[in-house]
Amino acid sequence: MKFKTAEIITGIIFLLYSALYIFWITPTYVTNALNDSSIQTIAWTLRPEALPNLNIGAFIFFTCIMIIQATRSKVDELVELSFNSSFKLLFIIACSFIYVALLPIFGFLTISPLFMLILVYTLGLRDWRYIIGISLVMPFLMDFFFYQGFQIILPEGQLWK
Amino acid sequence: MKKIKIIKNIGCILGIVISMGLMANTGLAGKFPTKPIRVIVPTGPGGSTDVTSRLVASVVHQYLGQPMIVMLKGGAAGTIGMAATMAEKADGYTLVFGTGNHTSIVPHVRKVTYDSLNDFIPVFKVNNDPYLIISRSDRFKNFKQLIDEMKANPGKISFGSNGLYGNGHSMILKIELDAKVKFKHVPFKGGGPAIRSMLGGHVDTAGGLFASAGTLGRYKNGSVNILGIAAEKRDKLAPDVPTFREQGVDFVYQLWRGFMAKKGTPQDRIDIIVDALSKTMKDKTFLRLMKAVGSPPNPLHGKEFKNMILAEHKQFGAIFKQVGVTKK
Amino acid sequence: MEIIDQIIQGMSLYFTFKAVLMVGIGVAAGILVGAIPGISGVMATAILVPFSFFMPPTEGIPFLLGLHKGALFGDSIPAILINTPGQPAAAATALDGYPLAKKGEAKSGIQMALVSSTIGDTFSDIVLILAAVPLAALALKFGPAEFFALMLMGLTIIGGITGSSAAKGILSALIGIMIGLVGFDAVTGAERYTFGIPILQGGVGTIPLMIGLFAVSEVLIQAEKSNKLLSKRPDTAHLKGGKNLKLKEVKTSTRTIIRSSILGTIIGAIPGTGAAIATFIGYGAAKRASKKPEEFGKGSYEGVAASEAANSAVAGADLIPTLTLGIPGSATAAILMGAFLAQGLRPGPELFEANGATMYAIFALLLIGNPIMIVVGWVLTPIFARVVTVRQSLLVPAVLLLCLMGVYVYRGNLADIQVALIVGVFGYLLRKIDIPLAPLVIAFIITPIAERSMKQALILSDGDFSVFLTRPISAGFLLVAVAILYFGFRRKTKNKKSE
Repeated sequence: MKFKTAEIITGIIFLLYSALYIFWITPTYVTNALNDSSIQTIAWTLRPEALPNLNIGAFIFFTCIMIIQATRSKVDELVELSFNSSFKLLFIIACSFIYVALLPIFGFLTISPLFMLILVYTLGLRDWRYIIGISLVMPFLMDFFFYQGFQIILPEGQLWK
Repeated sequence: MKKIKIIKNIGCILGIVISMGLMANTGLAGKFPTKPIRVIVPTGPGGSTDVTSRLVASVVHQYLGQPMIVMLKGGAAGTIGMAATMAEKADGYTLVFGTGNHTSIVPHVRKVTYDSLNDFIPVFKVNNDPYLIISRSDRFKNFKQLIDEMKANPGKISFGSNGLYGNGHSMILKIELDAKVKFKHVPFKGGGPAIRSMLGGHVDTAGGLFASAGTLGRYKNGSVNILGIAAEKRDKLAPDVPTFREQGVDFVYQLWRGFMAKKGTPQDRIDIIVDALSKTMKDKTFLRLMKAVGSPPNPLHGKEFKNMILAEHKQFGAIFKQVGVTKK
Repeated sequence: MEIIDQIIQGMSLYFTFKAVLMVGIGVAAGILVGAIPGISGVMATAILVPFSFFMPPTEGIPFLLGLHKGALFGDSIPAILINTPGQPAAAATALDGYPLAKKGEAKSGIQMALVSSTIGDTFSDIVLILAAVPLAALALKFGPAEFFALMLMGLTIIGGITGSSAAKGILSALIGIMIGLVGFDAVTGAERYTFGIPILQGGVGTIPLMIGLFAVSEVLIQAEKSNKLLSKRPDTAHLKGGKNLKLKEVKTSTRTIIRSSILGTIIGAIPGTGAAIATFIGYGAAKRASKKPEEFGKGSYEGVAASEAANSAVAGADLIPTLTLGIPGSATAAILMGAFLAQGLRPGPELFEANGATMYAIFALLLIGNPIMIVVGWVLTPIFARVVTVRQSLLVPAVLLLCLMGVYVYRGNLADIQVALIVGVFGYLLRKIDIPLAPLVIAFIITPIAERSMKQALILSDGDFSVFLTRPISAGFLLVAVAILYFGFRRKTKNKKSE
């Protein structure tokens, strides 16, 4: 994909998001959990949605400028986005989310070596001495350091309690 | 369980003997407590609640036989830390170190997933500080002058609070109700900035404690006046300052700090904790440190502590109801 | 001469070999702690303060002062080595430090940070000793209107660091404002953009945002490379972190270091502004004044010096309101104040009357801590710099694990890790289309302070906007802001014409 195409696509996504922000997100997600009569009479400058509205206006304006600049641009660079690397990145992110989800169940010391092992392997290292070494040393060192140094307890597994 | 054992062995080989030693205790049966007790502090680092909890923890292990580990879980006015306590087992190994703000004010004005009165057992109050209203000494001499000026210029006298519907704001809401006046409320992020603005003359009055931002020292050298004190009796630190009740405002609020446990914690375990904490309160080192920090211990536990929280919760409930602030 | 008596008395009490040793240990501990992303100086001081309670004051306070100094410099180490600023203030350091490390000059980059950090710190310590009282009086003059004007002026200075395209830089800042608006509104209590997630009620956490935006996105950028490249030793590994810093590089940055030290000290003396804003202002001002502004962001020693000198100058100045007013200027200062209290020193107006001798000894220790920091830092730097010789397939997972746990430790909440991961993916996409991240961070930090002080000023003035112009300090700041915008614009159009 050409760089300027990417810029234009980003610009369009930003504009779509702005529309969503104005018509749905701000009206739905700027709410007050209290019935508070003093808020009804407050000046508009103090209202919670004053700054967000101002901000999104500026955002739309500068997005348009970016799009215009992109269409005029003569730079012919390409964005590096290969299918292979995108798949690898998605896998790493997915692993991280699963890791966070499993932390409270299995605990830091059990699940972290596995997480490290998968990541190191995914990034292409095949020397098992290194892989197992770092996967074990790193989490244990961290646990030791955090607890002994700072009395901070890293997530413990509910399963073992 | 085998997997854990293997991991533990490797850990020992790696030389992590001490840390593992502590954790290995968990499996052994014995007299409570057999492993470290965690204390969730629902605030950020460095505040008076955090400091007090660490002071207690640094002494109480002598009497408890196990370390007490402070875990900061701040955010969302303490509701995250309180909710995190509810997610733990009610086995006495997890306590929460909260304040009156967490049990008695926040539940009235924030969405919370717990019942601050019934889901927690008040275990032990460590100390308390009365809430004050302060002004520069060249601004107001006493409470009467403040009220008179407010009646003459409604909505012109400003008050810097530590946050919307926080301790300070709740105090002026009650003053407004009882004295029939109106403040110009300016919320700050924390009590320190509010007092700083008051000293700089940007706001007329501010709320705070004796220990906060050098207030006691300033009162003693005459640069600020304490106009009222939210206690039942006058305070030894400033015996000249009349209480709010003496001045026609029925408001008592001692910002206390204390331990609470999740509902369902066995009473015998609570008794052991209370016993250790009671001994801590008499510990010489602890007394010296607390005196230096400016808030000597004032222990309370059991039914009296619970009743105090109930009364406080009721008072703030009534204030917010009268003002017309209710949860949707 | 009572003062001289007091100084001698204080020296004999505090200025012992043991006290100096404790400063050294504190500095070393601070550097180590600061070097871990996520564990900030604030957290480290908070956790270690109780230990000082049980030391005699002659050891406990020197230890904490050393820790305070060391942690500030320590934050710059991961920023330079692995593009992971653990603190917003170190984000400006990463802008130039990381490109330096990529060029194989990690060691000299860290040494530059160390030297400029120490100079900035020394400068602000001297100011603290000589002018604490008048500066504290100045700090009190800062009301809501002044804060707002200062924030606006800061934004215009920082506006110079937008990168290649001004529109993209501004867009980045606007996104930063959008994120900064999340959480409870200070004045009405309205919940904004929290989507019912409790952890967002107080706003997106600074540490999750920082770690996500810089560290997680960097992990993704690195992971994108081919596996063959990742499991090979880095090309620059044979340099072992590169050469030592040359005197020439320090000399060419002298003006920058002095400018940043002054800016950092002034901004640091105003409680509640924070090191991050001072650092970015120092960096922005240096870029504007530099003879080689085009090198900024591509590995300029001047850039590292500008941000680190400002960052550390805040540390000494931070203590000005803390010691003289008893009102801490930052979270770290608040914790130090707690430690002072526990040792029987009562910060506030009466401190110098009651504890004059002790205070002068503390000042002396603050000063002596700076050469100690150079020594300790210089010894530790080569060890840290070895990180660049580790193959990426080992380094990247280790960094990710450390960062994710750093985010957890920040306030013990796993939801923060999820926030960091989401922000990380977002930051990666922004970097792909060349939207700079620095304006986002600084706008994110400024937004809550600016919005709150603007609304406070308007409440106090009953909605009258003229308050920002009628108050002299505030009007002065706004004037400077307009001047910066005007000259910046004129330079740009001139440049275009000359092309």
